[in-house]
Amino acid sequence: MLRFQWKILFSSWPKTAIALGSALCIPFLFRGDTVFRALYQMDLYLTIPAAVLMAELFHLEYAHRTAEILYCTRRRKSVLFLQRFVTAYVLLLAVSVLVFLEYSLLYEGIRWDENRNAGYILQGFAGIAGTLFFFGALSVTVTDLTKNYFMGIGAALALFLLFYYLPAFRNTPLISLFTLHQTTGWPLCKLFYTALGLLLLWINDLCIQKSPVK
Amino acid sequence: MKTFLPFIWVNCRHSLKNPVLWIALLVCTAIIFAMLADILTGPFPMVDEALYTEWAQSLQENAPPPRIRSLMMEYMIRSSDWDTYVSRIRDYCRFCEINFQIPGEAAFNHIIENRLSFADDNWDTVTKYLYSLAEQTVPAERLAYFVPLQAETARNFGGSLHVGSYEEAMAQVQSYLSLSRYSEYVGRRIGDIGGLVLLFACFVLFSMTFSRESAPEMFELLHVKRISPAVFVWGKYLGSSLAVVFMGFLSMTILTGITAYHCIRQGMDWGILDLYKYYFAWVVPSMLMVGAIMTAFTMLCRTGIPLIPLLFFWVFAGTQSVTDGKGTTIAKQFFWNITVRISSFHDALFVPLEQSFYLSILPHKLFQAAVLFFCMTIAVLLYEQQKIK
Repeated sequence: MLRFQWKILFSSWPKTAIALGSALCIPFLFRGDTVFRALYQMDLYLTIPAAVLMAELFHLEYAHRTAEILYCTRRRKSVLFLQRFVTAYVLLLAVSVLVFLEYSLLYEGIRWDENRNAGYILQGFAGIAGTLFFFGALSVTVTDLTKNYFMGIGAALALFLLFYYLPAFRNTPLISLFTLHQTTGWPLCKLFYTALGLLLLWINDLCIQKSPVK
Repeated sequence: MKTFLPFIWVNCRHSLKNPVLWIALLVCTAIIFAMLADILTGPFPMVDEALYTEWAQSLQENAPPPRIRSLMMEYMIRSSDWDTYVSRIRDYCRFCEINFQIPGEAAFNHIIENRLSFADDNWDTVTKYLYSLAEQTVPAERLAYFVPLQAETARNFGGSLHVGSYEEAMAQVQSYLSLSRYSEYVGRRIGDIGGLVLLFACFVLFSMTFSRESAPEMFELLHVKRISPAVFVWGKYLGSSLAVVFMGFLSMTILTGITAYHCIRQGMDWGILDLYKYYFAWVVPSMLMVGAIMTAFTMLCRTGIPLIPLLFFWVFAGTQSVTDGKGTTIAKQFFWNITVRISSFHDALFVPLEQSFYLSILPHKLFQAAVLFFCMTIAVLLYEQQKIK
């Protein structure tokens, strides 16, 4: 069943390859000559491929009008959506590891960085995982609520721009998302957004159970 | 032409009915307004002495600045050539002291006493001197990463601006206002940062242009139409472009109204076209280029969505300093950036810009036009190929 979901999820492999491949361009475009800086850039910019990739996880069913025909039991819909979400999420985490390896190869400064230890890097990856989870959940939830994946992607990207440009979003504790290793409360912030992501996925689950689809 | 113009108009109306466009209008206008709130709602540009003193003090103490934090560059006074040189050398010597363990203070004093490289923009003499010091202190494999001071990277060390007294700063602002209207300055700020925000909206809006036509059932239906592939592709593209440009135009109208109100309240001169001219000359060419790139990509992959991350990265990267593997800053702007920011050419946007500045941007705009026509040609050819199949 997982292999079947894999085929559905990546039925258009150029699309997926380009969306994920764009993540591999991050080290070439954004400087990361220390471990902190590399993790910060990844935390910030991996959200965009995450939002794009996760948006149409269930929208495929709406687009092909199979949401109510093929997966007619409530449990089946939830399980299948979860399989797809986890598959895409694990893929994103794998890509994030590749991106960090790219940074290590491209920037010599990382090899002499005092923060180059397993604990610091693993904490960073845990933070990145939280950010990707939140943005992926937001993107897919808005898509399924509005039945329009442009809205889902647009909502995630609009929120990203708010975090990126507005001082009120950047500097307020707990609200500011992209504070990896910058403040003492950053783990709490990541946990908060992970919890928000879980809430969004629950709302999404309620949404995809609604039948018939109009 | 009989079918082309009505076809453009039909597609424009169709795009205008899309709720995503109107949501993007609200979001973009809100973000641009929030970023320019200080200059459109605050006491800027002629602030009182207490506020200026508080800002200057926060700058020197590296403390969180007061409300007018975003206006730093506008109040900074341009330093003399000698002060700029001293500041640059001090910063560079400190950098070399941290990274290559040279005696920073002694090196600084030697360079200043002998005025090394002061008379020219070529920093070779200073670089050679500090390199010779570094050779004595660090191993050869570390020396390979020595960062030379060069004409294009020197601006990253030290600064050519300083915080002046309240009277100096206000006199500078008054002199700028006598040369250029305040709304011109707002237009330039919008061209600088507002253009980026509108461009982000374009990525999503243009990816929707051909989304329905790419579906297999729609594609078969389109074969019965008698319009040529070129008319179809160009018509759809221009229809969407009109709608998106109109969205930005509405955003500029709202911001023009706010600017006019602020200027009238402060007793400053303003011009109704000042925001629009920066929008149409600076932002719209970038939006049209993005639309063309999206159109070509949609013809290739049936959807423009996967290109959105790359376009985002392209814009963000173009606004930041680019470095090589050693961490050396290479340049602030490349020719092939998706858009150029006005602030990359001038430290303070309040400075009236000369005509030669606009002429220097012309090659970039011509480049954008070339990319537009190239991508649209590719899109038409791809559409023809798909139709034949």
